[in-house]
Amino acid sequence: MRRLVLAALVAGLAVAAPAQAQNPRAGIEHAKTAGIFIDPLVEPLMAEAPAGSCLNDPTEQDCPRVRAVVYAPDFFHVPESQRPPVASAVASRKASKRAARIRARAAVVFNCYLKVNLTSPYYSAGYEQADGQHYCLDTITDLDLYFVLYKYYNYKWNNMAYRWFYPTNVNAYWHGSIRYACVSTSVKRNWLAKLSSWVVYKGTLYAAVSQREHTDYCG
Amino acid sequence: MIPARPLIVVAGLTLGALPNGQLVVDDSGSGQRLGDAIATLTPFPVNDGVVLAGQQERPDHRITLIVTPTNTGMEYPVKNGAWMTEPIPYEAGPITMIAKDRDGRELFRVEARPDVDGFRPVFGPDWVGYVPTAD
Repeated sequence: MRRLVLAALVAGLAVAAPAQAQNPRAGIEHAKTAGIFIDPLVEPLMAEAPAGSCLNDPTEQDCPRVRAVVYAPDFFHVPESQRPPVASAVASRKASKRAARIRARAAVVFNCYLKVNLTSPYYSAGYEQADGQHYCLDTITDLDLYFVLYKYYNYKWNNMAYRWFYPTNVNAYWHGSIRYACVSTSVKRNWLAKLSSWVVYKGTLYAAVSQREHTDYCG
Repeated sequence: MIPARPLIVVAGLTLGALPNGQLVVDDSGSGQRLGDAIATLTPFPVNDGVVLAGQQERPDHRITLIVTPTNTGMEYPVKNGAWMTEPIPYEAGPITMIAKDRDGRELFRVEARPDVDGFRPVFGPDWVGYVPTAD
């Protein structure tokens, strides 16, 4: 049932893309009101997750019940270029304390891994494209992935293409791609491929992001 | 068992790719699948030791150097987007995998401890790890 709802939402998003819901942070407030712990580091990721997704609003009717939403705990092991925009959250004293806790926990072993392939984004056959992979070692109960291609123009990153994946077999290896048909191949542009994922493991919703940037002749 | 397209065959073991791109290691003799080889370094126990395998993580990753407590370096070429060793003796201590480019320059390295962590896959610096096992 949830998949049908998601499919309907994706269809709706396709019409309205790339616009988000009116208030993309509404889900964060809903979750806090419902008593779900929200990691300050995950808030930007929640706000940019597609409307109707469990990451955007964990209190959605068909989402699994969770007690916390947290960001990848190895944040400071993620290369600078792959970190999400959390400068404002990190700047706060509260987040700094949390960052120290994250560093302390950085030695733990992880269950799930994702990446945008190192060669992505890339230009091929008239398309700007990106590939990504995701794999979990232990059993998880829910998995969603959100792949976005951004192009830099008008002094900002613009969402040019996106795909929302919700694999049937959440514990299987996943790999997926996204592409955008170039309007022009005589213009050089900066491209950013961003793969977000969120899984539910033992009652907690974990989110992570991998992103890579490249310049290509694709306008 | 979904048949895998063979990429590398070494000493009766086949590293192959499933239709979805997933890498797996099969024992050609028994027909058994030993497991997935998605990670940067995956150790597989075999009768007479351990086999190590992984995917090509970067376009310039051409050589994999394996260092064990008693062997200072065995090089394995990256072929068809993957690499795999022959069975090497199992011994206590770290196994280090060093990815190198065509000219022998080090790209990155990872370490496995089968004697401590079991035969757990190890993911390199290009992967983002999340969901801690003990939280």
